[in-house]
Amino acid sequence: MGYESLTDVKGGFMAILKKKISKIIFYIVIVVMAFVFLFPLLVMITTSFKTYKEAFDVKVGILPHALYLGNYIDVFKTIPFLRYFGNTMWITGMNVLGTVIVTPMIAYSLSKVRWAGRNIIFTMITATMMIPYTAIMIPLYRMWVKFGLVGSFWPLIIPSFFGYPLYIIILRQFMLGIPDELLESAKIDGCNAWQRFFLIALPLAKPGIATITIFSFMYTFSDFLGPLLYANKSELYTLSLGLYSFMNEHSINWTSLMAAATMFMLPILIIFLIGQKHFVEGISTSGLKG
Amino acid sequence: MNKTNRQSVRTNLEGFLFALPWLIGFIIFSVYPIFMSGYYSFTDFSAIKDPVFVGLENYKSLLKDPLFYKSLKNTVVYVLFSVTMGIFLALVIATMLNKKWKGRTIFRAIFFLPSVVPVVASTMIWVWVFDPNHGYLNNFLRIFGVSTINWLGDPSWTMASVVMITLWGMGSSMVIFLAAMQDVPKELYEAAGIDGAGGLAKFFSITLPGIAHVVLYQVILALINGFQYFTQVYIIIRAQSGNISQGINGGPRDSLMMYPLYLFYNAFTVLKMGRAAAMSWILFLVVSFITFVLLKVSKKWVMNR
Repeated sequence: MGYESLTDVKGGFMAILKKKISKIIFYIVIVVMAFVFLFPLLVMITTSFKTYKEAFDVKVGILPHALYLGNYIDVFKTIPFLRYFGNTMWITGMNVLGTVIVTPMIAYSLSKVRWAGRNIIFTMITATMMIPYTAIMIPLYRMWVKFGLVGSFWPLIIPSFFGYPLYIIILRQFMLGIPDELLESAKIDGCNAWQRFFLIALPLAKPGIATITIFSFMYTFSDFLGPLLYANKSELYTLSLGLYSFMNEHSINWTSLMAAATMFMLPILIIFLIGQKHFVEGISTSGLKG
Repeated sequence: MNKTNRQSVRTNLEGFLFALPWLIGFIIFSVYPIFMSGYYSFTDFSAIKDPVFVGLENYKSLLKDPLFYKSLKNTVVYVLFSVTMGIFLALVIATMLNKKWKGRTIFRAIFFLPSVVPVVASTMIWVWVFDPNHGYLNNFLRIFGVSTINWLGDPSWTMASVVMITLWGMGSSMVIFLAAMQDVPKELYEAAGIDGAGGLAKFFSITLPGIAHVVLYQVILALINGFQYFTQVYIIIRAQSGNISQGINGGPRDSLMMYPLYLFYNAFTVLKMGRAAAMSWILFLVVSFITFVLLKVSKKWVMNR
């Protein structure tokens, strides 16, 4: 009897110890993994503060000896950074504008108006998401050539005023949560279709609109292929293309390039930190709808 | 009766008008281009030259082109590895973050962050990290006596390197899996706990079936993205060759020649847009077919809602 209870105590102690050890291992594993994931960004930032010589000296560790700011000055000398930034912000701003104006209308139609076409259209939107851009790139390019708009920002802006599938799907999911009774009672009170949309649905969809704003910003700000095809004059370059043109020299000036990349990242980082909640929520709803 | 009829006409009109912008955009930016790339694939044309009908010439020349097969093979290999490994890694990290422990929101942000880094910036950072002589990866590996690896210059390493870059950006899938896992009813786990199920058993019998539909959706999206893999290789190749060669360049022994990259070269470097259109039509069919098969096959094991 006594012997048995003793092994019980011993067993319990072992169990606790085992749990503790597995917890410690868990923390070690996840911290190491997190470090690996952060490492490239760490490299970007530290390299941007190194002198060229330091960056190529194997004996110098990951941290620079001192905060050298020359690379940042060099960025402005090498490329018209502010101009590229302005171009990028213009295209991004217009995309956000188009997205914010049009997406709520479409999402509202598909979530809160009980009309015959809403399910068909929703299926079509989901199917459109599966079309690879590469598959339609050439006719689109030729279309913009015919419009005489290649070499301008318009091919990068106009499509956003017709709604992007992903943003519609996300916002529709948000709007499904708006109670129908609210819209019904507004109807009885004499609100017309536009008033119901503007005064009831839109204010209640604010968090969803915030999410698609962030999405639209992030996507347009970082886009490479679009500007590569259409903004094909150096005065139209976006930051993506500007960064890329750093390599047009005979050799790559890595320290300045990392400084430019860091500056490029900054707006994204700020938006990421401010809007992380919206962003994560949006990504989750878009993925959950399955 | 008449009144409800008029009511439904009004509702239909309202819904239609609100959805109209998308319908117009759908026709101009999706339907028209899909059909036109089908038509263009039977023609010879460039951005300046009007299409001339050439029949099956583009398809014939593609089927005789070793680079076409090479790019297709590279892309399939890339997609296989990046999708399976990416989904696996995202599932592992999501499972770790799905437990309750201190600081997990910070870690969620850390794992998610790389997926929002602009692709040009992230690719360049990786080219620098992968630098054979001065890059941190080789510097690190030298501590363990590993000799210099030319990650992006040696054709036997290039594929592994680009898959690694893709794995780094698996954050958005991870966040989606995490959200899906949190939707799995807690009672299921409690019931399993009584039955004495271990962590792995719980994962395979409860978590995975509970989020299978989300995993499937992510696999399909990752596949479609994988078949469009372009920007990273485009930049890596330019960075490796000092951007001197403007011609068709598929990296070391064409090991980085991806299908969309070859398509881009055909369209915009050698200006054979009809040929490129044939490639895009093939791509469209391949991707549609794979998606269709995945959806059909998975009906059996995904508990659809």
